[in-house]
Amino acid sequence: MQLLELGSNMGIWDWDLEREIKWWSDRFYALLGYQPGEITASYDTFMGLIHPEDEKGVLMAFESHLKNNIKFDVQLRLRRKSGKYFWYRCQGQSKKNEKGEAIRMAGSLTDINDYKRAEYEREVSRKNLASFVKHAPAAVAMLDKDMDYILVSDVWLKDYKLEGSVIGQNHYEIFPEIGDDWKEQHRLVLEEGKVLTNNKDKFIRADGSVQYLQWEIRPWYQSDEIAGIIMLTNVITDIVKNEEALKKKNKQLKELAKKLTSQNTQLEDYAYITSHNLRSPVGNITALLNLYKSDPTPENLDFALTNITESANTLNQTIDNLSELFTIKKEIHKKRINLNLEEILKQTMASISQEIKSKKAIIEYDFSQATHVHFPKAYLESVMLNLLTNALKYSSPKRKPHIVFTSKNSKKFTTLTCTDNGLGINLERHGEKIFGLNKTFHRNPDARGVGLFITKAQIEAMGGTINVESTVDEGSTFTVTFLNTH
Amino acid sequence: MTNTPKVALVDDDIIYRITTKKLIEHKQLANEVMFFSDGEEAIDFLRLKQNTPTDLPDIILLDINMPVMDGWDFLEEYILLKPKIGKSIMLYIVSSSVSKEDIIRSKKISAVTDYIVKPITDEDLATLFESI
Repeated sequence: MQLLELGSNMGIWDWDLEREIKWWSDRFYALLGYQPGEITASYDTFMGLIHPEDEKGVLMAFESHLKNNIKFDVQLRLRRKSGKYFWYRCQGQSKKNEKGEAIRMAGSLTDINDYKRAEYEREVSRKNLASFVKHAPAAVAMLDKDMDYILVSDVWLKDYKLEGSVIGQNHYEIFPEIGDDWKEQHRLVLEEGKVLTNNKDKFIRADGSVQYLQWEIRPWYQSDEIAGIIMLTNVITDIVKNEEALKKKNKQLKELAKKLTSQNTQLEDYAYITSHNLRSPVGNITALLNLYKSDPTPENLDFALTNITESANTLNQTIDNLSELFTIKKEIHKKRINLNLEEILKQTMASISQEIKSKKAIIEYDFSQATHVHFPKAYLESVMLNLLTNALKYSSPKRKPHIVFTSKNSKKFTTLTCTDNGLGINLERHGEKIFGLNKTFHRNPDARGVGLFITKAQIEAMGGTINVESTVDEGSTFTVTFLNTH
Repeated sequence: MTNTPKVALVDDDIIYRITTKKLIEHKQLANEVMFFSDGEEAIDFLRLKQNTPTDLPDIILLDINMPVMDGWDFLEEYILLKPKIGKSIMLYIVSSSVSKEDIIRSKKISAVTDYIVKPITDEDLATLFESI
């Protein structure tokens, strides 16, 4: 028995159950910090050294060995002479008589304290890691080579709306929506050890909802071998949505700025022309008075009176036009009603039937594609009147005026066009100015250039547009779009 | 210079044209007053008569806001034509516009002698014709 010990770290024990004699080897004593024979080798002594928490387990192991022949091999803490408990492994084998009663038992005792401490430390560090990951303020998951979950953070569960524990479950079973592109990236990590990142990735979930992710995936190693994958993700859906909302706002602001710039240009034009149109007749009145003062002949008196009257009329006209424009600017929220295009056109034609007759104009219309528009009544009447009088006013002396109105409907707009065979406008030269106030492009005594400016203002105030296409000496087509609001 | 200068009024306002003409004739400042109701009519005439200086005006009174071809567009064409004309012509802008931008713009054009805000008085006219 003593020989057996040599070169090994084992202590040997021998127990004669019949005679109740126990023997411990020198090494056995030494393992417990005693000199050989310093304490009595006995069952009671041994039991007295066992850590209270391990006592029950050792007794049970004895019993099951003796009764059921289960191998006796226990790990237990024994109190050394110093008073401190150390971890030991105790193995043994019994010998039985012909009746099957155990008569003798012998075995070994090994110091496994270092091993136990390392195991304990591993356990602590595993628990620490698990706890660290669980409470990490980020979505973290650690998976094995088969993509089964090992550790996961609470944020991960929350971010991906996962219920209960996912440990041990497969990533692709939890996320069946993961496509081949991501699987390929996982493969690159697991097989080639790549570290991959993405700053903005779209993740369409199984329920159709969309998440935006920022992620990093990298391998983790065990004894220099890739043992799995660590995923760190950041759900940035809110940030991306805010970004998109911001972009949209920005676009709206730019459009608004554009609109304001155009309105400002309109206002500048308006101020300029106002000044011009008010100053011209006033200047004339002054000049006429000057003329009469410096040359007071009856002829000049007559001339002055006639023309002062005309200048006063012009002034009145200008002031009427201006107040009409003010009204448009003020009444942007004018009530829209559903208007029948045919009815309004017929009313307009009736109101200027004299002019139409004297010009021998042919007026046709086809409103079958869109019979109605949703627009303030007074505005539509004014728009129609201006389109019609404009076409008549600038008709060609070479041919009978032929004016055609048509309408069309799309989802967002109803479109009205007015085509004539009149003088046409040189758009290359006047293109930008055509809808400006008091811009006339013909030597026509009636041309005051207010009509199209007012038409444009009325249409734009209601969210519509007006455009013109024209060829000199062939005719013009005006296209008006009305915003569909219902 | 001739003792009987010619003056061209380029303006769409007929009351202005006649009133100014009457004033000029009354003061005997010129013996011929030509009328053009927009820039295009005036530039066409100058082109036509560029080789017969005696038919050309000595003074042009140019309005800005006119239909068809306004004062600025006329000036663009006039600057190109001027070197070919065998006569020195004084050009005044006579406009009802008091816009600073218009006045500054006119000062930058060397072909423009001065800018006069309407109504033009007999004193203004006398000064213009003295400078010939």
